[in-house]
Amino acid sequence: MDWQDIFKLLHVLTFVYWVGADLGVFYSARLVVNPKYSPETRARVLKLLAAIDMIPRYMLLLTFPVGATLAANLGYSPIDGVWLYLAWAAAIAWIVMVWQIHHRDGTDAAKRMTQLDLMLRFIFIAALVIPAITSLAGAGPYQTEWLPIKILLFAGAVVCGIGIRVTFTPFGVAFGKLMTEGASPAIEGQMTKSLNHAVPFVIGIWVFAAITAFLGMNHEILFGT
Amino acid sequence: MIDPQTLWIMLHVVLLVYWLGADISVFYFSLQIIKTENSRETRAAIAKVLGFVNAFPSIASILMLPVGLMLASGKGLSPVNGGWLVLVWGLAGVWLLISVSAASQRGTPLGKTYSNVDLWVRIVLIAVLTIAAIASFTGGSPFASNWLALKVLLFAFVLVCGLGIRLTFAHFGPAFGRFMAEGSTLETEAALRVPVLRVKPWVLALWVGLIAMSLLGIAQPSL
Repeated sequence: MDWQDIFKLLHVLTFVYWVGADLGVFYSARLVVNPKYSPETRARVLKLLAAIDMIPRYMLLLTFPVGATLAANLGYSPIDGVWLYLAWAAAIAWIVMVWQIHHRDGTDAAKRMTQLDLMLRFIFIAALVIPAITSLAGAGPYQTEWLPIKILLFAGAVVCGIGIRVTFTPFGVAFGKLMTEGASPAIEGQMTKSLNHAVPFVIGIWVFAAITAFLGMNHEILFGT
Repeated sequence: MIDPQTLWIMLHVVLLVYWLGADISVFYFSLQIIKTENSRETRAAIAKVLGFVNAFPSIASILMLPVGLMLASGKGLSPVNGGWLVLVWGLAGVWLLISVSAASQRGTPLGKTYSNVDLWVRIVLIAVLTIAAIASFTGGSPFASNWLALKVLLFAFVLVCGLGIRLTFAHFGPAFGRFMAEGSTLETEAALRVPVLRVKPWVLALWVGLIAMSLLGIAQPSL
């Protein structure tokens, strides 16, 4: 048993708590759009849902430096040495920011940080996708085929996360109206529609995460490296 | 043709996702169900979430053992092969049906019978796994690798934790029924709180067991 095994365990646990904790979020979202419940109950369930949803959010960010550490130890990744420390520092700083966005929900600071977070995600996706494609084209920097494929699939999950955020925006607006104006068929319809639009992206994250995990577990058998 | 081992290892980890990963939601929502700041209606909604999410660890925990034995057999680490594996899957399928029926018929006499059978299946399994693990440590059989024998022993430990959870939590259902009927009083709140708080050590022990098993499966150390 060595450090690589510990990082492998951490990598598996980030997947476990990412996709596993999502189940509670997924189901309770259905209760929030259920008009049988009072607006107060729905607001409360939404608050609980938001709290448990932080676990998948942290895991998505944490799984990257853990994976980068594993790849560096295998000698497949250029994110090594000081760059690896930087990746860890950036991921931890980002997680703290995501926590602050949740903690200060509703304040101007949270709004500004949410915008910064979205911008960072676009940069993150580009930083994942571009070197992965150049590597698959044979120009490096990743030394093996499965790793850039894995990184592309992970980027797909990050894209789906942005998809959820965009499709869920009308939900937040409609829910605000529900709380101030009370229930109406128009508001209920808007909320349900918004939630239904988010579902394909949620399932997309699960599928991308699952294929990524599959490659991670089986790259030696499938690719020989 | 894709190597079947790649799919079994994937399934093994996915089962962990829906066991350990789903459990954190169960844990969080069960702590919320005893909070007096949540209204009766909110707590009824939380009970629905708990009912849905908790089904996943229940099912995953039953499928984990046959999937693990498939992996061990594929690696040549287990004497449970061929027809014996078919038998294990058959038994696991029957156990799953009993367990799901116990949950879906809860509150009926038939549900009670299923629940009792499920309890005895677990007790027998704990005994069988513990004996197999100790025999492997001392006599090298049925599992020649000590890490695998330790995993089997830890699985028995996790099943014990599951029984601890079940026995501690048995009072929760009736207490929740009373709470829903009578509303929030000092007595109904206390009756809800006691099982939720007493179950905590069992849950944490179960998680530690599962994480230790994961590490053993990943590292496969020579012990």
